[in-house]
Amino acid sequence: MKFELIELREDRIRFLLSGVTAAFANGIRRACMSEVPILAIDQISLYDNTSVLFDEQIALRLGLVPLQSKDLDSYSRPEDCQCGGEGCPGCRVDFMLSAEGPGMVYSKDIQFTDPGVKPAFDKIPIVILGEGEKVVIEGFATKRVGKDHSKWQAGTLCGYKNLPKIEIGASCDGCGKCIEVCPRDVLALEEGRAKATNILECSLCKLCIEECEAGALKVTPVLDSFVISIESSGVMPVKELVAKAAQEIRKRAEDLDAKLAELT
Amino acid sequence: MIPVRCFSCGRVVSHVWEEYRERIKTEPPGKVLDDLGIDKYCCRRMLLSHVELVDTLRRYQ
Repeated sequence: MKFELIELREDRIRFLLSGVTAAFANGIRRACMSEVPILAIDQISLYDNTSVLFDEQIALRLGLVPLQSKDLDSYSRPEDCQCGGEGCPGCRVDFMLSAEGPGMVYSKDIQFTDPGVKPAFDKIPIVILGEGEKVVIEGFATKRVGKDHSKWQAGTLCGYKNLPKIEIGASCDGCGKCIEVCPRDVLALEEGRAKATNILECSLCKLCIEECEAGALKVTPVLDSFVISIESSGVMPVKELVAKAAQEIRKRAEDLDAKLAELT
Repeated sequence: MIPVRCFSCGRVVSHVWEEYRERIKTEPPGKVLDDLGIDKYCCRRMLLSHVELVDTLRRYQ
């Protein structure tokens, strides 16, 4: 397995993984989206809501606020918790949100009992309150995975494609038609011949092949190399997300290993 | 109210809504979205096509 970093930002990573199967690449993609546990607001009690939004709408909006945690590992998932899923400080973070209008209620107004937990973005509008309108909300956040609900999804847009390979045969006469038709500017003219200069952007659309009268082009996917792009919802830096996804895969493999060992 | 996240990809888009709404009064929306880092077309349509109805509805509360 070979790893090559293409792009790294706080919330987005793109890397080239070669020498692996499609199943492995897909495993990483799926683990990023649905296996990394994070905190999200789970249940709320509304003591007062005279705003224009319905209770359910406010509940949904609160749930979708991504929550950052300084010490995520100190929380356990409700089903693994020592309390047996009833709810205790080990698997819950309580919060309060009370506001009176006029004005906008933002995600930064949510007060968590754990000072290490805070919304990833401060300026997410929750509800706008008019003169004399009021909301009083209490509730808790739990740690779960993206499989349970998309609000627990740590990676938002995760995907991969095969690394494209463009071969240009000897019959290329440098007409430049393939360069014109390419929607992603993958090809360029060099020394009277077409050359693939920006191969990572190629989406394998094969428009260039259709356009090439000389039949000189050959575009194929490299079957064991993948360009993987992962985007984090903001709950953690994307580097950490990919590392945690890999850990989750390892944990599952080890579980399977242990179960198989019991059988024999 | 602007949806908290993009319907298609799940990225948070609402945190830039107020800035976006202020800035499009003087600047072209496409440029503002580029500036704010909303680069995918699924997220861009969330802000571009949003109509704020909360203040209109309040009168009939």
